[in-house]
Amino acid sequence: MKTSIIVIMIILAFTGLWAQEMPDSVFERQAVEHLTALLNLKPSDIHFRDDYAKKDSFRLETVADLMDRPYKMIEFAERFKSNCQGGQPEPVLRFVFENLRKETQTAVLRRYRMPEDENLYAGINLYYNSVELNRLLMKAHSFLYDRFPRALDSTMALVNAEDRKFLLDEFKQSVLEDTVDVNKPVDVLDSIQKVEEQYTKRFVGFATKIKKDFIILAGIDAAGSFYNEVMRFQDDIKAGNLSVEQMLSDTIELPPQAGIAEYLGSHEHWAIGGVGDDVYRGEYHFILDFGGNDIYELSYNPDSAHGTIIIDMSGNDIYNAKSDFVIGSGCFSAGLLYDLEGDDIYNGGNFSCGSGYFGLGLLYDGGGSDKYYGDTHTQGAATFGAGIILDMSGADLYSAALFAQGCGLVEGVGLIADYEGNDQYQAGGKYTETYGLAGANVHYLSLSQGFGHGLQPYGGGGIGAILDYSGNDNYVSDIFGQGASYWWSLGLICDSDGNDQYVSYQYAQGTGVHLSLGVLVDERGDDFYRGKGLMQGVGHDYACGIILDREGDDIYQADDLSQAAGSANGIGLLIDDRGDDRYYVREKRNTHGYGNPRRDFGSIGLFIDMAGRDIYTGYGKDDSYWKSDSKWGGGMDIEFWKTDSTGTDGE
Amino acid sequence: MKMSLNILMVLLLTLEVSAVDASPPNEAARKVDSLFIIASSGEIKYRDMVQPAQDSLVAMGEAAVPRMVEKIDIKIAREARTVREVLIKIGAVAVPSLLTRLSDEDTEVVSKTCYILGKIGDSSAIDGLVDVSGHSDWHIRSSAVAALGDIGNERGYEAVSRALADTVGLVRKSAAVAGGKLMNEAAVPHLVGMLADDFYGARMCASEALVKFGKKSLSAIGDSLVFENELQGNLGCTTLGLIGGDSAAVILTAQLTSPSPMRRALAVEGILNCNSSLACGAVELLSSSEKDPLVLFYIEKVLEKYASK
Repeated sequence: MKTSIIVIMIILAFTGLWAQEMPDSVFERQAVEHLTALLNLKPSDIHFRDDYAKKDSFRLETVADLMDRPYKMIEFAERFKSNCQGGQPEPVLRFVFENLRKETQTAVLRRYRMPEDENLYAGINLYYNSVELNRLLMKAHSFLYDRFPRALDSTMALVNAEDRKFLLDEFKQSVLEDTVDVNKPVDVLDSIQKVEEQYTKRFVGFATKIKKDFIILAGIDAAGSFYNEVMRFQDDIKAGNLSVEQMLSDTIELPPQAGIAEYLGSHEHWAIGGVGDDVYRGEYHFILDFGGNDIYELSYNPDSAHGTIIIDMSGNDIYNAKSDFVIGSGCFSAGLLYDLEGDDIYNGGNFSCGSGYFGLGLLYDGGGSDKYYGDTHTQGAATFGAGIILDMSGADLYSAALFAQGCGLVEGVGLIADYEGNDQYQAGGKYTETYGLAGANVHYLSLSQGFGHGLQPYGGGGIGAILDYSGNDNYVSDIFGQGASYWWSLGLICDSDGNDQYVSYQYAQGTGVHLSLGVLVDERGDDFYRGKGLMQGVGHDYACGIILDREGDDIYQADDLSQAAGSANGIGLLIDDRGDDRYYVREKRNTHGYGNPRRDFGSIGLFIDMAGRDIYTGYGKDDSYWKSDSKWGGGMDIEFWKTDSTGTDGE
Repeated sequence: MKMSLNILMVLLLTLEVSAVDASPPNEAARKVDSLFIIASSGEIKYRDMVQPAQDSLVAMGEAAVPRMVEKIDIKIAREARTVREVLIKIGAVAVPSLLTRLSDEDTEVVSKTCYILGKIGDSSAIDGLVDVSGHSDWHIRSSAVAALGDIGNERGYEAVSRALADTVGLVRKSAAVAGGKLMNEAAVPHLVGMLADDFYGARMCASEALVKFGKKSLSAIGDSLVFENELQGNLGCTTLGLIGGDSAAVILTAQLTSPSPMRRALAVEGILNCNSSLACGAVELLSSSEKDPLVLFYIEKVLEKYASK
């Protein structure tokens, strides 16, 4: 009797397993095993040593792990997406923080809470009578004048004043490009390059003393805490439990001769606005605006660093940057901006709109079709910190020049998570690429859109990501972008749904360059990928690039060294799970599963199409296997998804 | 005309650049520095002047060597490439100066020096390279062994042979490549063993080296096909196919009965590449019983290729 029950239970358990659909990743893995075996390779050959170049102290653990097993980039992209689902800032930021851990880091701060200063509220006079409002203002006061400064002190405790100033002057300048450089003579350009190299060397010499975890964790605590407060406020106001007019008018009787600035909410650099249209000009620490179509003209002086918290409950607002480090930008501190509703315009410059520069920058946009403009280090960009944009809905436009739109530089994670809407991402168009990387024609550097960048050869870079959860999106970049990276870093795009278009010129769409990693995962929709070269699954120089498209009838176009190409001992993979796809290339010789030799041995290019009636120009062929005339690469386009009665059998 | 103009521009720029240089050590070094800025420029607008500047540096010959050798420690990739290219083109007269840098403390410098010495190809560098081929840094071991292969002198074989068993895959890879250049038959068994190497670079380069040995490696590869390591046998099949000929095709025939579909597929593919119709009958026989789509794919190709024969 007992045995029968066990047998029945086992049968039931197995029935349950069969009924459960196997994830695509299992079959993708099988396909990789199959093709690598045919090429006398094995999946574990998709691996890089960690000592091709001298190890530095800036390498992130995540990047190091993925360099060891680059194929896991797909899993990492899925995990990133899953952890950021929902759009609440704190879990997103916690995941980002986890991935900022350095390879050499032994101790990790999980949570950082300074004991509150007993005297913190001693000199505070309450102005408003609303308990809810005072709670929010007290919290702001605590973070802005206690926790952030103390966290910054811990972050910079070992850094002297000169080096701190260097970070705000010379090093910051070396991140920026100058449009007039293009006209300078060779000796001047050479000396500029030498000077920038000296800056980099100086930075590397002391940057390990910067302990960014303190300021980032303080920022994360604030980001989560204010999000909860703000959402509660919004709910209560909408439910009629709180009246804005009453809150703002219900104030204490000011004693005669009392200065208003001595009262909480009325301090210098603080502003509280009602539901009308307001204009805020200058340098602010805290703004709470309850509605209206507002204009913000914001500036920031990094020499006297401070936190910034801006909360705008509703309205179509315009934010204009009047200096660097504004609009959800943290420089030596945390900068948080919550705009809950409305079609907003964010006119950022450099280091703006979700920018973390030795700090944390968060721009949370709760809804509306928004326009984000910026120049360099903007729209989800970070150096020694985290720079995040969370945009919950609407058809949004992101436009920037350089190091933008999910860009992680040294010890930085830059992220755009966009949850709904048909979005446009545009990067480039300002700084000419002058080294002829793209031939003699004029092209522009982008270094954006899920892009990681390191300081070759002195310091590993960060992680740059775009997570777009739905909508028909357009991605346009030029040189370097769209799930790409340069020097020991990671760039990724994970686009879950919609018919998307990806257009770039070079080094893009799942491409790693120089000991680096790039991945583009597009899960659903009929997508279009277009570019010239070094794209669509390319690794160049001990680097790996992967492009994975799971569903839809897709079109891939490229000229050369693309669509699963390994170059200079790099590894490139293109995997397309389903759909009737078209693969067009101009050069047959270095595409569709190609590897070229360097250092006396080859690279790896793996091209895998697992289903559909596909059309090719080049090596690829529907219902076929092929090995390209290269070192070493090949492809297969076979019906990998056998459909049996369970619909689950992959082989 | 355009070339002349470029050279003129290089000279003008050289003068201009020289004028701003504060305290150059001597005339030759000053000239090298000036030319080097242009020769290593990556700016697209100076592209036409890069080659003439490099040519001028090469034309300086021995006079340019000391300063160029000093520049080996440069880290900017484009400039480092220029240093390499110029010194290689200057050739044997640079070897004595280069040898002095093999004892440099900076391992990158030693590694780059090995590379340059190998490409120059002068046998006077062999002893120095052998000395550093046992260095504790694997980059240096790899570069030294590769350089010994490039020089192609039998005196370097012992060091290469040792490196075939190095603990680091990239060194074994360099040794495999060097083995294929030195063509010492004693290396064949090691190379066959290396078909099972954990590092794909070493594995594939061993295969390429064995192809160079040709028929001399057939029996060793054939013997290895029965070994347990599936990867070794699979790559052995591919290698036999690339060596080609009737003997290789016959050896491959035995693999058509392998229980592994991948082994059968690679054996059929090997036969396809052998350019020998000897094994065609065995493949045809297999076609009647074969079920695996990959094997059938290659069977079809073989039958198609040899149908007329």
